[in-house]
Amino acid sequence: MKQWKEIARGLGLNVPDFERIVPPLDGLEAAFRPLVKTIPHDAEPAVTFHATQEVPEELQ
Amino acid sequence: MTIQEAAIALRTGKVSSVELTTEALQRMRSLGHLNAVITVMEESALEDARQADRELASDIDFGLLHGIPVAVKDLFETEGVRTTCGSKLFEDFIPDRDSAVIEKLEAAGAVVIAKTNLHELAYGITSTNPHFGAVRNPWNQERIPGGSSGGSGAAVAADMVFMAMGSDTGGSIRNPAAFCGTVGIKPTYGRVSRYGVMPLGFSLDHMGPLTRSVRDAAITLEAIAGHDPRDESSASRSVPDYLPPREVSIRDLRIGWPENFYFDRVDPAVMSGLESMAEAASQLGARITPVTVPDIAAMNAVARMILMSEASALMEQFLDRRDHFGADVLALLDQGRLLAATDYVNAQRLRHMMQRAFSAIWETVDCLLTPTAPMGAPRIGQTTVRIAGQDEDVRLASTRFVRAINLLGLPALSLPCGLDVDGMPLGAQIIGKPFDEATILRVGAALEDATDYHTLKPDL
Repeated sequence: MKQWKEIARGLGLNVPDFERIVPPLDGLEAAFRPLVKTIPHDAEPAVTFHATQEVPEELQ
Repeated sequence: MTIQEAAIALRTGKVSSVELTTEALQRMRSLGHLNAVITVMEESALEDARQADRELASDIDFGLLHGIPVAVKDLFETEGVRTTCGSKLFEDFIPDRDSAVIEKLEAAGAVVIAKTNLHELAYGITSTNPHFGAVRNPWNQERIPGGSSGGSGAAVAADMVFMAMGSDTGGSIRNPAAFCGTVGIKPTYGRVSRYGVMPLGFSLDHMGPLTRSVRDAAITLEAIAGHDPRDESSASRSVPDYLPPREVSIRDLRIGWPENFYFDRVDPAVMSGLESMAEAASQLGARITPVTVPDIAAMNAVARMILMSEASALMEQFLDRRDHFGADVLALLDQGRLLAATDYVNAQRLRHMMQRAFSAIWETVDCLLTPTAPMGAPRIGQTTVRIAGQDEDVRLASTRFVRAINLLGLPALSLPCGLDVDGMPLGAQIIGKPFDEATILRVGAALEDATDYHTLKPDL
């Protein structure tokens, strides 16, 4: 399991309530980590950037 | 009375919009202890109602929502009216624009009378809001209404309004619909504009209505759907006619009945409610088709990874004001800050893979029938729930059957399917193909016509 307290310290984050947040993070880590091993190298993320995208008039 | 019935009454002179609106405002006041509402827009609502009456009397008719009193979750921006998002951070925020949904509702002649209470920042399912009060379930005021659109669920269930808008990032429309005994639809991602709605998870947020009937949900969806260039994820597909006809048929429709995951651990009353819905569908000529669904628990984990990353990124600039957050939301935001960027990217890669794997289901069925939640509404303050002999976190249990559908962006409808042993409402979920809201509304309307679960009302 990840050392969440060390990660927070390394990132310079003030996270006081570790007892509350560690169990759900450990649970998520246990469910998520094995899935990462199943990703093919050419799998693209489901977020895309459109270089040709025009800014709508309403937002200019 | 439903929107459909009220629309007829308005056009035959049996009632006026001012009368409907006045009654709604009175009921909102008399049921103030439910904490369903944050801001009441009495003056503008009555003015809008008077205008609707004038227009209808002059044969100017904007459709079935014209003159109907409605509410919106208090994260839809309303020009000149504060929009709190249920947060102390935004308690005095008065937008200078309307959200796209508000624009569409007003163009349809709806009378927006209130902004409903919600889970703080829409980040949770209890709607026990530390800043604006805990929303109470109209069926039992010691119970949560679900969330995060808990005020919208309570307002519709308590007959304050005909429709209340919600948003759904991990089940936040369907969960309160199930817990409050109303209908709720989360459309396909991109079907309804997110413009002017406070985001929670950019790639998971969906907007949709909670209503008293499936056809009312269809009427509302038709009014608010459509392309909006101000929302980058907005779809350019045209909006079809969603309203199911009076004698709606589902004959030969293939309704998928999951053989794995969805019925593994549910309250017995949920099981019997779903079985009765399947039986009703079968009687109507639909084909109940057993299917094996991909790993929904894995999808839930991926969806949580994405949501926690996106929500924490969004709120990072405010996290130095820790006293402005409730404890549960602050804990979630802290968790999200500890996740790695690589995990977010990999979660979005897994999302594509899971989307492809799930789409194979549509070769064998036209929609899926599942529970919305594995149990009825828990008590306010309850943190774990025991289902089939196993203790489970209330939030994770409540979102177990709905969260993955946000990851996939699919349309899903929740409608009442009975009560549990404590008399709390239960919900059935119908999940459809992308942009096939018409089919799930058709199935929902047929099941509503064939059963009487939607006629059950809380004793207020």
